[in-house]
Amino acid sequence: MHAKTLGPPRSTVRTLELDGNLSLYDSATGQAAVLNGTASDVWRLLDGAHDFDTVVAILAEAYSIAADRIREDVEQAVTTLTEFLIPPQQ
Amino acid sequence: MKISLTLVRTHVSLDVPESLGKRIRSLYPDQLLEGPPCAHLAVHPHSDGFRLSGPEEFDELVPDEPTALSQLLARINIAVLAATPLFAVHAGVVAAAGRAIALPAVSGTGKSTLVAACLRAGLTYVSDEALCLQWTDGAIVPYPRPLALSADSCRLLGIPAPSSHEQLLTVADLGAEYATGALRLEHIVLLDHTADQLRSAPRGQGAAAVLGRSFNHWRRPDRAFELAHELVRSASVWNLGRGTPATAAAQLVGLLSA
Repeated sequence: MHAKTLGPPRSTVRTLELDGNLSLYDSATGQAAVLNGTASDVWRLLDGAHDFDTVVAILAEAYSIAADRIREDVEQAVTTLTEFLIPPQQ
Repeated sequence: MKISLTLVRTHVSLDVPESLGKRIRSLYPDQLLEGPPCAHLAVHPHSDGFRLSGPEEFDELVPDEPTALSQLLARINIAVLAATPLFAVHAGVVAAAGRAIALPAVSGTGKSTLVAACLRAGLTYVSDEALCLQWTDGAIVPYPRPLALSADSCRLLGIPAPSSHEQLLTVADLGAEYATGALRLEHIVLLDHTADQLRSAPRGQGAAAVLGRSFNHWRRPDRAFELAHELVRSASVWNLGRGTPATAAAQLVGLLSA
């Protein structure tokens, strides 16, 4: 997973914002998710241009913490968000 | 005895023995709203007790009238929430002077007990079961079914507990009144056993609770997603550690007094 770019979102996914955090709804699958701050930031980077390690690096710099300290949180977020993304090309 | 009940803009017809019918009439407030028929339920005396029948081949024999009444009320609840043309969320709802608090929660978490405590503390009754909203504008439509309290709940509230069955109460039994007039949802309160007091919670938690506790979001999922967010944008979201029902109710009264 880590070498492939993540995203972009499926065209059927809508986002709404609440106090800076995002909620997602996919009208094709009926799936909804209310994201916390980290997951919202991860989602904003899942545009099909970034791979996992790049997402971790960008957020580590933004949060001013070591990449290893957020790697697990990002991985959990990506796992949750995968169902809202276009699957990567093989 | 034939009875028609109109609840949350849906209509249930009942065919029940006269004694049950009089009890049913005493438990629900006068209904002013009209709606299309959604279900017919019947209770008939039987040599072994009472026989209940209804939609989807529902057919049940119960031993006595209190059990028949309890089962009938449960079936009415299922029927109206399945058919209501409103967005329905599993929640207790109380109010004061047109300002409402919703308590989204699943069964068995103390919703009805807390609602009853709120009514005894002076709030008005909207529902102990469902927050019902118009899909278009989110306006609250009360669902004032009778409160059914377990013996444990009665003891917690200091109400005489039945030896068996649940205690069915109207708002008058609790010294309260039904909410009337337009209601504005001002607070969404999430029951949280880990919280030691009432504290502010992220709005996202409120949206997740409204969507997650909805009975019928699947009817208009896109609109349900929007409506849940519209509600929490215009309301405050809280976590409440329950403590005793009376202390929790006092905190909710405080929210509406602020």
